Amino acid sequence: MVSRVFEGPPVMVPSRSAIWLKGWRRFAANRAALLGLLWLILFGVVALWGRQLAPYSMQYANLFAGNEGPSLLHPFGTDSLGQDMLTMVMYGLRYTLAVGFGATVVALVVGVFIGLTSGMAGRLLDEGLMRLTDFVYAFPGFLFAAFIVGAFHGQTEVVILAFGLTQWAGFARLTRGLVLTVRHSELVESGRAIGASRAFIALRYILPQVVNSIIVYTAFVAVNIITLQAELSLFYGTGPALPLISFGQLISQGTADVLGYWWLLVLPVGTLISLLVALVVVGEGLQAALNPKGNRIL
Amino acid sequence: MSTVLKIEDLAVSFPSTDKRIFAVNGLSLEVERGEWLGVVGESGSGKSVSLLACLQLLTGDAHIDRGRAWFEGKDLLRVKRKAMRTILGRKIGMVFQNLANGLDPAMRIGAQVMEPMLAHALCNKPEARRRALSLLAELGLSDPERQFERYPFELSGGMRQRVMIAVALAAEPELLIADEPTTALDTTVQVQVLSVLQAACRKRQMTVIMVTHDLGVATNVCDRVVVMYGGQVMENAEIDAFIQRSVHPYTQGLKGSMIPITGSSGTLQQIQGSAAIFHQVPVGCPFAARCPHAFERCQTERPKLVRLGAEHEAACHLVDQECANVG
Amino acid sequence: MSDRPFLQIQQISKSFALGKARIDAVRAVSMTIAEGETFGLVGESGSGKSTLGRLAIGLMKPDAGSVRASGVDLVTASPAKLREMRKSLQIVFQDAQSALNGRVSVASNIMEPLVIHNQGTPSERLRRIGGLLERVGLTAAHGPAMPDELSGGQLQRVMIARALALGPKLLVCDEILSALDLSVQAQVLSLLEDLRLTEHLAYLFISHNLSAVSYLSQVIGVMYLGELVEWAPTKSLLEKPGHPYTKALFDSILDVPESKAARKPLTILPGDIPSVIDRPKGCPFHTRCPLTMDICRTVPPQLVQVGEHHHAACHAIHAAG
Repeated sequence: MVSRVFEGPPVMVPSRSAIWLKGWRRFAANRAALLGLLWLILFGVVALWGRQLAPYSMQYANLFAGNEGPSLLHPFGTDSLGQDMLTMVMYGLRYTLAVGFGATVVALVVGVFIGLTSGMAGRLLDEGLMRLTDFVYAFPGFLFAAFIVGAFHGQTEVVILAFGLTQWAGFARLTRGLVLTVRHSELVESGRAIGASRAFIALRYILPQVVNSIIVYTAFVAVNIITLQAELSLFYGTGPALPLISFGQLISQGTADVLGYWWLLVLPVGTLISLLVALVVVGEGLQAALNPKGNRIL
Repeated sequence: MSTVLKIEDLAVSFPSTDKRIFAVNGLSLEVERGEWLGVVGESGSGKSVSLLACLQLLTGDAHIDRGRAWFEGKDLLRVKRKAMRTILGRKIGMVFQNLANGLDPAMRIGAQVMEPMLAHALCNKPEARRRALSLLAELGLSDPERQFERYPFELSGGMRQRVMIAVALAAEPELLIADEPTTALDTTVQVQVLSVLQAACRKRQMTVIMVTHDLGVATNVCDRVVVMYGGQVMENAEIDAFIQRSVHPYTQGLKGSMIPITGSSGTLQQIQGSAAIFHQVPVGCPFAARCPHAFERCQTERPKLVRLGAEHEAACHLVDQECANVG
Repeated sequence: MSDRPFLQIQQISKSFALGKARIDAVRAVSMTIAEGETFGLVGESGSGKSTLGRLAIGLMKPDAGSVRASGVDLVTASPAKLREMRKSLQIVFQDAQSALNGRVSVASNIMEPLVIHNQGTPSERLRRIGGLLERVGLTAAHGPAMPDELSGGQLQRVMIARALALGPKLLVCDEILSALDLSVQAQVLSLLEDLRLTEHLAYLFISHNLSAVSYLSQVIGVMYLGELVEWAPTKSLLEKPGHPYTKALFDSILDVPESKAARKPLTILPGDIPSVIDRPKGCPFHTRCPLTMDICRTVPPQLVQVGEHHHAACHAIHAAG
């Protein structure tokens, strides 16, 4: 007996863009996240075109106008050498974002790869990879990075690698956990029941679930890396060679003069904190946009 | 007979993502001393929400819009939190459906059963232990001494539910509120739990409010049944009147949805659709959208409870009209 | 009963590792489901009925025994053949909310099996989805909705539509009513019965709800601790339940009585269901059975015929018969 083919009026399938639009609306409904995103975009623009946008050059120094407070000419004031602090902050942003973004990408790629392999693999490989992950997780990443950076004199690529290679363990654990949860879910079982191949299940069911949580987590890792990097420069008191400058350096110089010239510390630190807050807020906005729980009508 | 709990015109709403949900919309009911009252309805009918509201157990964002809940001369909705603590557990015991939430996973069974007696300073520790052991035995747990030292995860679902009942009864409350106490259990275990619950409460002459979606449970253990929909009482009837003479279309729909043990598949009577969630206070009869007999008046005017017998009332315009025609 | 067997299960067993122990989820179960027939499987939680449901359609491989669907042995079939068999063997899960892909629309969920098995052109698929939605009592307008915009009952209908998309012969329904309201349960049951009659579907209907099982099924099997302790045509089982456990199950159903005075006493099955880790020797039910004899404690009873198409595994019946 030939089974019947059901025929009816054609249904509409919402397009991918419609689904993205829904996600965007949920994100945009969170005013703080939207503001944070704008702030991040502004920082990105400054980081990319800082040299063109900066009011002064890094070489500019007016020794007669040292340690001046914020003014129209120098909105962030000047330091003891008469260098414009706004310019320094804009250059610092470039370095900080390059390291923060680069190291986060390294951590993400390494961590997700190891987590996926571990979650999909057999017992032995899984055990091995997880021991390695635990080791890296427990390892004092700050000391490791400090050692590497010291040994290689703060070369940007090395700094990126050093941070990336100490921060991937969280990604690996998260990814593995997610893969394991999804792998034994009713969703995957119902996929197997309709005859879906492993690849179909991995791409349609497991990956989207994993990706969403990872995107959210990424924002928080970036926060961690940027903070670490600032701490590290603070620790060494030195940063990259000019014309690169890190927030850590600015801040460490600022602490020395904080009593007389508050703007040297407060304004760079404020900028850094606003960057971190923007990242966290955007991370939270993404969480709401990608996991529409509580959005149930019934 | 005296009234133990009297709820008057209770309304509760809470926010959801975009619109407010009006869960309870003017509920009034009473329960008499020694009576087993069944509160029946589908999910979303407001049956659990209304009782939780009376016990001040609703989570933060729920809002009690109006109403009174009289218990021992006090309005439970306006009692201070601190005073509420001397009522909960001591005067009013509770048993919930969710086995996971009811018991502390890190505490031995014995300690949990003894806690209400010690917390309300009813007796000293050795006495509490003696009472707890006899309570566990009364509820049919074999080898209570051994169960006393075990943790909740070591017990089966049916055993855990009986321990929850023991905790609820430990301080000898006057009123027991049981919210779907047997819903998560297998049928043979359900009967077991109902049977010990019934025996224990009868012995103590307790008043019981049993919230359930299962008409089989309600009609087998309760003295009176209140049917709720849309946060309002649809029908309120003494058990024989409920079984034999229920008139509300929703009650009849629920009865028709009960699957008979016949073995031959006849057509089931059905209610169309599923229980509605109200984003505004229903203007007319909340059931109108699903009711096969709905007419114009049902959309615009809220039906009042009409008395049909000594212990039988229903809120339905159809019934109201028939009464008017006869009278 | 139709006499053309569609699914034949012989002596299948399945065990799982639980820490260091092994638990037998299914023990030496044999059963047959005829074309267009509903086989109801009842038993308490932990009785192995869900595992049996998965074994029956090849979603799990048994440790021993054979499963044949329209002549094809699912245990030895190649992955390609097994995928082909998916078209005729489908399953609907208890929790539709988690078994459906919440990130894509209802229509996309129903389309997945059509895409996987390369059925129809894209525009044909859209029309078929419309037809399927209408067949399960929804409308084409539900297609673009996301799963979290539908109610529990509607989601269960979507799940059924998805399972129907490939034109199956057998549908395993695993506790599909237990998350639904009473009125919605009745609607879904009516839909299933209607589909069986018009589409000639067979069901393996797994539920702990004996009323629902007896409403829908032509044959009922009763499981206890992984074993099929009785199976019989519904009418025969309702009239003369043989196994004491089956009787206990029937006694535990709370029907609406005629009046308060006519209530049946609450009959209790003593004790609790034993843990699968230390399963009783002999008959698995002997620790709670009112008829236990010496032999029950040591010798496991075999399923034997006790009436027309009626089988039970109980020493007491065998002794009496």
